[in-house]
Amino acid sequence: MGRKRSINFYIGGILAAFLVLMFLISFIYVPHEINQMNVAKRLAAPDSSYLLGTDNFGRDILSRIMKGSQTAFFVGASAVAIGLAGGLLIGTAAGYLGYWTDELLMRLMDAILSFPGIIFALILVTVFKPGIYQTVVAIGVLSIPGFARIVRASVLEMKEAEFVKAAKGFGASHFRILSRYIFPNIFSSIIVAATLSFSTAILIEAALSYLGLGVQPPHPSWGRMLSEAQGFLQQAPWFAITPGLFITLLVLGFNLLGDGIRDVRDVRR
Amino acid sequence: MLELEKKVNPLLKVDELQVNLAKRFGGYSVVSNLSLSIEQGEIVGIAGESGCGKSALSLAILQLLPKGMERSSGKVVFDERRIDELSLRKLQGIRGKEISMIFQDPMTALNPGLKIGTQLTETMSKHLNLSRREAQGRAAELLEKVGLPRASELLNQYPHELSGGMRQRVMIAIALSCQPKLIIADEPTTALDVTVQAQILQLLKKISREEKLAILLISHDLGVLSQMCDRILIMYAGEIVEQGTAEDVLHRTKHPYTRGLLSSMPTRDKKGKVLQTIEGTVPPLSERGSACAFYKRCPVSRPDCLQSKPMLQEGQGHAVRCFYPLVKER
Repeated sequence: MGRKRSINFYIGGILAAFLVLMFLISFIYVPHEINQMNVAKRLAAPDSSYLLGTDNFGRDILSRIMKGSQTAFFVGASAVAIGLAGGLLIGTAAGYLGYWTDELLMRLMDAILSFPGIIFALILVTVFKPGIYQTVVAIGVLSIPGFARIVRASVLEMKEAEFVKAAKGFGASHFRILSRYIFPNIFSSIIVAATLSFSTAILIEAALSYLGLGVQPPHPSWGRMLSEAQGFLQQAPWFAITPGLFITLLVLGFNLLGDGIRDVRDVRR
Repeated sequence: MLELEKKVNPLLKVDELQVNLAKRFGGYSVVSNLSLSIEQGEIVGIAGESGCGKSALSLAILQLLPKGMERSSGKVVFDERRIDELSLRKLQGIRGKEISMIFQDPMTALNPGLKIGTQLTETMSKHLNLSRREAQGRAAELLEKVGLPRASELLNQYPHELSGGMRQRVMIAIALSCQPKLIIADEPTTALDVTVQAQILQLLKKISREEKLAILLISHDLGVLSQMCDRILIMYAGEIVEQGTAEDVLHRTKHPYTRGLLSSMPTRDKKGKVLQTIEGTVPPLSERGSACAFYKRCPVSRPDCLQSKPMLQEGQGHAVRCFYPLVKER
């Protein structure tokens, strides 16, 4: 490694670590039961018992943010898993086999990319009614082309590497070349892509949920909190600001972390 | 057919090999009608400028040509088997086991993500059916054989922890690991500095002598070849223009191109004088026709050199492709 880590890496790392910590804590402890309504304290400002205030039903915003992080992380991680699996398969096939396989697959990817993502997601959730799994699949499929392109480019580069040619010269099979020589050496670029698309996935989830087409109640979602809060912007600004802030922090944190990893990666020299 | 190649059972025999660019790149000839043979334990050198087809030749032997180049005709016979018609799977059994390759740049020819030990044992366990422990033991032996002490430590190191010379020694160790009969070394020392270069060459020569290992050594450096080789082939524009024993080619030079190469080498007795060069460059693939390929650059060319292509003419093991071969000793 030895390479100097950038300031991005540290800021992103700290933000991401903070959010991951919050996510983990939410499984064992939240200050209030998330659906518990306190009618006496509707739209209450932050105080000692409700650290981030309450919403229009008197529910604790902090607890809902914490539980909402579970939704966000679930959607982000699953969508990345789908995108990564599909992208790895398609990108490897395109890059390693080349020629018409490459043309065919990459033009297909271009077709998906040329379609505005949010509209594609809207169509999907409209056809298969809104819900958390539909959202995950929609976002996952949408992120396949991005992964496929990165994997293809890295495979193309590695395929021409001297050590891959040498391995062929020593009688290595295609499977061995891919598994031992190509994949381990493109791992770092995949990590970067995964980090970046993790935050994008969560952003799309928030957008869909804001429109009411993403995660449905009773799952708490940051995007839906935003849409619920917009009627109370003047009475209770913290209600809208808090989920907005967390979405911002998460996207910023993971993007910076991804950039930071990109800066320090490349053990190849 | 040439006299040299009539000897019984050469280890490797390449017969009228033709390598072309793929049709979509123009289909031009890269290596044309090239024949050569290597005896067991013999070191044969191939020299020529960049772009003369020496690397394409070496890759074609093991069918490792990049996409975009193809072998269109010719035979490759190794150890009395046609290896140019084998399936990929069978070829993979020969590559690394019976014929190994050493590549030019040791800095990039090792997998940066695997330990030296793993890379050594992987090739062996593929070809030799050794257990992990046996392979480990043999890996350590091999490292010592190629002049790398502290083998047990090295086995656990990654390529970036080694110097260029050490890495090339590791490459040689991998190449030797399955006791091949032939090693094809494509500019094995070009990327190394001069002192390391000499050590690596000595090592190769020593191993070749000890194990009756044949080496096809490709280089643009005649100095390297003169130290190493039993026989030397000079290639120009995809053809052999002169071949013979190292002694014949270097000291009883017949082809004007070979002489040009020799006189453009800096040596001690040329100190203070202007170094000669060969005018011009290798003709592009598209301009190789029916005349002598060297015509444009040849200092002794005559008009009739343009009429037809000279054949490789044999005389006592020393062949030359020229209508007007040089007669005087250099």
